[in-house]
Amino acid sequence: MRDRSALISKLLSSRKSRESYIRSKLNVLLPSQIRGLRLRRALKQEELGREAEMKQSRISAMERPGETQFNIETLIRVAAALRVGLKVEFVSFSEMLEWENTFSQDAFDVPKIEDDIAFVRPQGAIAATQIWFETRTALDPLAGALAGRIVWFNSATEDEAVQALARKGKGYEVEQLPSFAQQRSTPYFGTVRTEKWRTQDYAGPVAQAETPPIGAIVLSGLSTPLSGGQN
Amino acid sequence: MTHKKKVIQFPQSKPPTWTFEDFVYPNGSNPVEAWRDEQSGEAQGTFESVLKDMRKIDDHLNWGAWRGYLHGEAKKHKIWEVGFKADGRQYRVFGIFAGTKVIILLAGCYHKNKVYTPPDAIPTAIKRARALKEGTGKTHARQISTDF
Repeated sequence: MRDRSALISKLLSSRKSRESYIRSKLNVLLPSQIRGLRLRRALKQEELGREAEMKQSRISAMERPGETQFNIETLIRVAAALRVGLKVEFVSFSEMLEWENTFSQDAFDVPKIEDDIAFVRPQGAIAATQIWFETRTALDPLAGALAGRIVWFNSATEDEAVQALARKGKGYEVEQLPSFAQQRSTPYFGTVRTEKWRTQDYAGPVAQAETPPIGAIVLSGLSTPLSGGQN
Repeated sequence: MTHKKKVIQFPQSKPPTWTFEDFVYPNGSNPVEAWRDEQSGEAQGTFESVLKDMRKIDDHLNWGAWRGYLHGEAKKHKIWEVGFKADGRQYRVFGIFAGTKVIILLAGCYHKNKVYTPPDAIPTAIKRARALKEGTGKTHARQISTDF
């Protein structure tokens, strides 16, 4: 607490301290984002370098904390090579701190332009929000995970459905169909590991016989009502 | 068909995080913290940010700061180094893995042209790793603050 007060008073009084503070966050968060996206795309540094027309050693340096003093042009090149956009925004100190506290290289993902339904096909994005969730397994109270498979319909493709779901991350509106209510008296609680969802079945620890669709997950903002029984 | 509707906030799944401990002498003095306190504000901030970043990355090989295991005598103790650059200087921190997802930080130093400063940084890390093994050294949990 004493450390924090001392730091705050330094940040309030000294521009140099504020610069150092901002730099120390970016020193780590920019490299970590690049590394995270590259690893998620299973690219070697060499491959990303080729795409960005940069040497592998430069990519390597960009992924190490504080090693590169980034300029906007470099970031644009890397973003374009990773097939993602780039947003540079002035924010409050609290927002920057929040960014650092919540950022995780392992969880960080940004859809590639071709998978960015909202950008390349806004109509598709609407369709992709209508995703059925069909469970084959019960809630696993130990893992706190909901295992099962996603069933989508309308014009959304498998990839679109998964991408749309993964992007939202949290805050789903869950509609329980009567069949769900009949089969289960327990509510739909638990952690949903969206990043691990695929359309394939999961080998959950409490796998049971296949059951009919018992629920639907609707991404926030969906206005189209669901009709039951579709699969 | 009538629907029973409810809105539930699903928390994001969180992978297990690493925890950090500092080597401390039997008298309680913490040389890792003492080293950190001597560094510039930017270096201290970057060090803190690096640890925050590392703790949420499951596979240590994916840490941006990872520099690998040291060679020679240090290798016997499985001492590794992580590195970062701040205010134009290369910093290195030596550590070991201990138990599940636990990291013990042993020492910190500068690094330039393959030279560590202080020059006894690696022998010091070895001594401390040995002290831990022999029970003459202890560890103290490092708080990774999310407040600053």
